[in-house]
Amino acid sequence: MPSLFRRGIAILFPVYSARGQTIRKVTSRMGLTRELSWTHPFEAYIKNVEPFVFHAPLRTEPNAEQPLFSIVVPFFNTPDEYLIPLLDSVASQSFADWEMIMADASTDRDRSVRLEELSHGDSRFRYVRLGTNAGIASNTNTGIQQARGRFIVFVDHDDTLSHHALNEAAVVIADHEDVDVIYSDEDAISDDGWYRKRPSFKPSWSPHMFLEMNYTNHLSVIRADLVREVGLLRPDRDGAQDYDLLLRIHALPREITTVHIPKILYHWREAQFSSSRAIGQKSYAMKAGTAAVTDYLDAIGVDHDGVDILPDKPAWYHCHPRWSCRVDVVVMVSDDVRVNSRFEEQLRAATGATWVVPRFRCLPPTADISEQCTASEADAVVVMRAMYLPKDRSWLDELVGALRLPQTAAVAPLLMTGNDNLVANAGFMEHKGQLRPLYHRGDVTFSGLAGLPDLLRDVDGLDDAVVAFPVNTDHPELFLTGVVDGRTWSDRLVLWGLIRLYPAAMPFRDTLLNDNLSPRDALVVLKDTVGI
Amino acid sequence: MENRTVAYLIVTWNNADIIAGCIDSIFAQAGVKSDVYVLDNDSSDDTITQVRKYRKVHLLKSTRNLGFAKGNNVLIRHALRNPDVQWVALINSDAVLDTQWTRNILDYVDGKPSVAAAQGLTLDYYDHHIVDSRHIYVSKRLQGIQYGYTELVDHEAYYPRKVFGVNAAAAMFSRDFIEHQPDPDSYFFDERFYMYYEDVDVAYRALVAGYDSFFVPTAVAYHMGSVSAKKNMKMYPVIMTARNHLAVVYKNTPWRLIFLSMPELLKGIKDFLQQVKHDHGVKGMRKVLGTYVIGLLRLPMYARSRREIRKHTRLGSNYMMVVMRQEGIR
Repeated sequence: MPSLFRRGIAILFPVYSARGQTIRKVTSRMGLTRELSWTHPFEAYIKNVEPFVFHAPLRTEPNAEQPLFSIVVPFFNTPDEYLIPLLDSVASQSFADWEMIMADASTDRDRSVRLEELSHGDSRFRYVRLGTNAGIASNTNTGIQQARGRFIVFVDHDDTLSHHALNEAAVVIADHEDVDVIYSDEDAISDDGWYRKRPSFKPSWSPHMFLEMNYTNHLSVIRADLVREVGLLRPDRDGAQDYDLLLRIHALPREITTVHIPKILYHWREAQFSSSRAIGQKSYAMKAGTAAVTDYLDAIGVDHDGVDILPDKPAWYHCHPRWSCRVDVVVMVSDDVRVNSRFEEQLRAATGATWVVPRFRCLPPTADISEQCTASEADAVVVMRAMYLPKDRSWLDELVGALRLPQTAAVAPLLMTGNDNLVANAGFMEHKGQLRPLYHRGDVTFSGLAGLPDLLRDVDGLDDAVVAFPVNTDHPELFLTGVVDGRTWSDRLVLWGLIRLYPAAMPFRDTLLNDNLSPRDALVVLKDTVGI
Repeated sequence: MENRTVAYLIVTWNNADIIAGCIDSIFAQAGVKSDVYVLDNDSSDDTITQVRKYRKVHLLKSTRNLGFAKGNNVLIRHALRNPDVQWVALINSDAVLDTQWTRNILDYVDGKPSVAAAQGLTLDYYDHHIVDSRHIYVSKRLQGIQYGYTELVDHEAYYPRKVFGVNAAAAMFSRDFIEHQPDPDSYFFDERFYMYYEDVDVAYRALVAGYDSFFVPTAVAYHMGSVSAKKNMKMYPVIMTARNHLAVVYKNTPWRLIFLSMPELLKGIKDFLQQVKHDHGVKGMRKVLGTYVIGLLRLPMYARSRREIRKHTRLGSNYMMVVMRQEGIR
């Protein structure tokens, strides 16, 4: 009987229909059913893990002259239902040494009055009335000019902070005196604030992933001197002003220390009109983001072919750095010279280079390539130790161009299995002292806890199957066989997920499946190509 | 700062053995002028002689037992006649205050507008490693709950913060809040409750009206009652809790939240009844079930209060529910 009932529900309200989603949402809100299944692990995390991850509060007195943190929030006609949770979450911080600049540009008189009234609730709130609403960047700038703190904390007017957010940041500052930028994990809360969902557990500082998307935003804590040094936010970058600011800071000619706090300190409200829900409609934001990345590449002196927006992934930016140089593509897939040269032909046919000048060479897998590469006067080398072929002819330009980005030791593409959507290798990450493969055999369209597999990301290790690196590298290990282990390097190993290589079995399979070929002939072809 | 006057109010009933400790700790408070009022609810032991030993205490005697709610209302009226009194501290006769209790609380809430109440860290009198209460709140099952009850003390982890409401065992209430009650039928505590749940009602009313309540962990008080209450649990508190529970929910909760929380509310009542069955047997459970029916029938009595409280509501119902889900931590 219960199964019949369940089947009836499944027919009347299918899970993947709007009707099914609505009925599940309503019943779970009323407490009749549990919430949608994908939120369960996160609920367990909130209940069983999160209460124990925070540090004990540091005991400090509020310092009105120069507090440690200045929280800068631009308000614009903020309704009470967003305003009060935010002010409560700030006023109840476990760390006391902060101030909050409330830059109010409301056009609604009632909202201004209410905001000012609420600003008396704590002596550390400072209400600043702006004459006109000049956009989010200008409004925030006015707030920053009023800020007296050593660090600026950027918060949006409809979001809330974890009660331990500032304390965690203060602990980091106490540990690393020279820290410039701090960012933390975040999650989303529903418009009414009832539910926390979509946690985003971020990787530690990864400059290459940052080029693709503004993943460090929220909670963003930046040293106030740096913000002033780069000239605050730029009003013409509204929509991506925070991304632009951080990119300009990272483009500064000195080293910027960025620290990641792997705890959820920021709750991003899925407000009806906020960017978290309708980012696809905010084309001006994406234009600003594109311009910000372009500016960054220009500032650090990297040639590039412009910056794209990925069509199915809004707010992801795809940059094309380029490097006009000579490249040695060393094919060392087999001891058999015939297999090597056959694969080299295929690779040559699948490659169309615009900026690089490739030279394809075949070597046995055991050969010492370091001497030969340095002798050949090439600038970069791409080593192929397994038979993978690209579908996109510009792969070599992309792969070698990525080497021009700062702090890049080596670049590898995403290796796929014969099945189009499964990942064969997306680099390795250290876990409990060992290198472990990321997304091994995972679906490339499925976002795990660490995001989608085809992001650009800095990894701890690369598979040696296909690796590109400059010839005059500081890391001679790159010339050797085996998993490239970069855990102790200061430079980074990059998985350039935008290039995908597929196993080279396809042409053979085409031949074998040819109807005109008898099984006997097919065996000959197989022997000939694979070398058995 | 040193001249703040605080009125300390104590309602006693047969507390001759402990009342002296309570009053002593009040006179030991640092940095305030204290104004102590004691109401004796017709004690049969020598409570009055114990209190008379203190010359400064204003002693009021009742010829019948007024109960906690009405007794405190009487005292509050008396205390507020003194125009210097900006803060009223309600102290249970079985509570003892640390010497810095008042000062630490006042230092924290000083200068904040729209403060309804503040409480310190209330520990168990017999074992100072066990918490009696950190604040009270209405859970998402719409039941009043003491936060932190019987947990181990972790002074390192506590920090001052905004909370749902305070436990009236040892708490301060502001004159501002007492004088601006939205509910015309209750001066402060609702006298129709007689006993139990009236502090939950006040806390809920303060939250709904947009007032703030604070928890200040540096102010420590010690409370005997709650931990030992379980030992000789009689039917009376259970009956009163059941009766007043529905009244608190009806008076303060918006219809939308009552509707959305109805399954949780019923689940909570079911669990409560099961607990009663465990403690007092089937007979007791039937009695409590009957009390719920009586509580339902009494609801029209609170209709005017509800109407006025809803009129003065400043907090959105969504955020109300968020605070309930976060166990009363704002």
